[in-house]
Amino acid sequence: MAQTKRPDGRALDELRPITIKLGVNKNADGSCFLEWGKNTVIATVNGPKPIFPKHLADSTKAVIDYKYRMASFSVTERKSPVPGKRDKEISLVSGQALESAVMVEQFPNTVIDVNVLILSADAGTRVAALTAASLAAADAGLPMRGLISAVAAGRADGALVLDLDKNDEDTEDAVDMACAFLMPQKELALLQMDGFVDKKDCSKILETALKGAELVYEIQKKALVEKYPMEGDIQ
Amino acid sequence: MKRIVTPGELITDKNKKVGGNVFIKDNCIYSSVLGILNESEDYVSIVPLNGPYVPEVNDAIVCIVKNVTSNGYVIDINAHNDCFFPKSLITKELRIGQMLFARVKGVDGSDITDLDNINILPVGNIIEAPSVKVPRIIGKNDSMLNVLKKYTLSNILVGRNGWIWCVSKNINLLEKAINMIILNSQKSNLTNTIEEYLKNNS
Repeated sequence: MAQTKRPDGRALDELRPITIKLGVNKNADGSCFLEWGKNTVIATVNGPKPIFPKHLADSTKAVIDYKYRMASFSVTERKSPVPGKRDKEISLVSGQALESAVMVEQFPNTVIDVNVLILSADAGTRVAALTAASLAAADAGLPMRGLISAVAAGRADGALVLDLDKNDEDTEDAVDMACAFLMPQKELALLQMDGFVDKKDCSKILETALKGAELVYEIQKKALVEKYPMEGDIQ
Repeated sequence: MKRIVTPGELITDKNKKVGGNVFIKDNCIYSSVLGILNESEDYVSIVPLNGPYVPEVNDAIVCIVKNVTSNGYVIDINAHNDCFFPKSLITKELRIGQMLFARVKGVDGSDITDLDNINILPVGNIIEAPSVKVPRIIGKNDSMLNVLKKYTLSNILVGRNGWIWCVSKNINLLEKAINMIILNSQKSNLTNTIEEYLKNNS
């Protein structure tokens, strides 16, 4: 019999619960606190501002300096706070994904600082980080083509699943495909994968991820609109 | 009823005149920022709820001298790039930290800004606000500004870049009132509420 539920009780195409709070850091231009299942992420956006050293400047667009870092207490065994290969790689690809959403060409010779800190990790931190970073950029009022909605999809125990957690990732045949889409245009902005998969399954996983990204996008939109209540008492 | 739109949201597929903060793709109009939709029969624009200051020609701004070099002054205008003002164009000597009121003379590709009509401001306080909230702080026909001036006994100069120069007898109250305006700018009937708040607390 085909598997219909996962060990944590979720259906195969069900996301973990997501809660979003915007404007949590008063010192940043835009910020977002996001809880995605057991993942906890805080993202801040500062800028555009002058870039130093000057030789890093691009005269045609703003440079996005995306920093993905995991706190040393975010995992069960202490992680060294020194940024490793993994942190640097995720920072690079996520920065490029975010660049496809922000209209960087409007701010030449400047830098936009994006800092994402993972406070607690339980698989899928890079997609949670990117989702939070795009919300922080929207909160900072940067002009954007759309929002980046990221989600992981893949295979666990022979079944195609959406939003893998640590249990799913630890199965023998696990495939973990982290996808980010520019919504609502549904353009692919980031694609990374762990594991082995054939062509047919690959396109099925992508379809599942797109459906998941649409769900994430709705949650993102709701959070942005709810930050500014149109009615109610003035405090 | 006013509606809040998010970046990338489709506003209309009809052919309309467009204002700020929208972009057009495949003959459809999309929002490019998080803001309040301002739509009429033949016109669409978005009033942003937050955002960086982008200098425009003829903006009256409050700025601060950041550095003095051998041939001019580096001036902080709260935009993404500082601006340079040569010594040859001004007779008075400026000091670091001096507050100025100036007009934007020209903008080159939103990168280099030229200033004009520089006036030195007396010593005062600067309150920071997002530049997109400046129209709300001034109000229709200066209504909000007059309320602030009247109840906090202050002299206020609002720069388009979001820096507000003020000399006030009750600076704490003024700061609180401005913060209230910033946090509730999307709500209606704001001037009356602020007036009531200031009346009760002044």
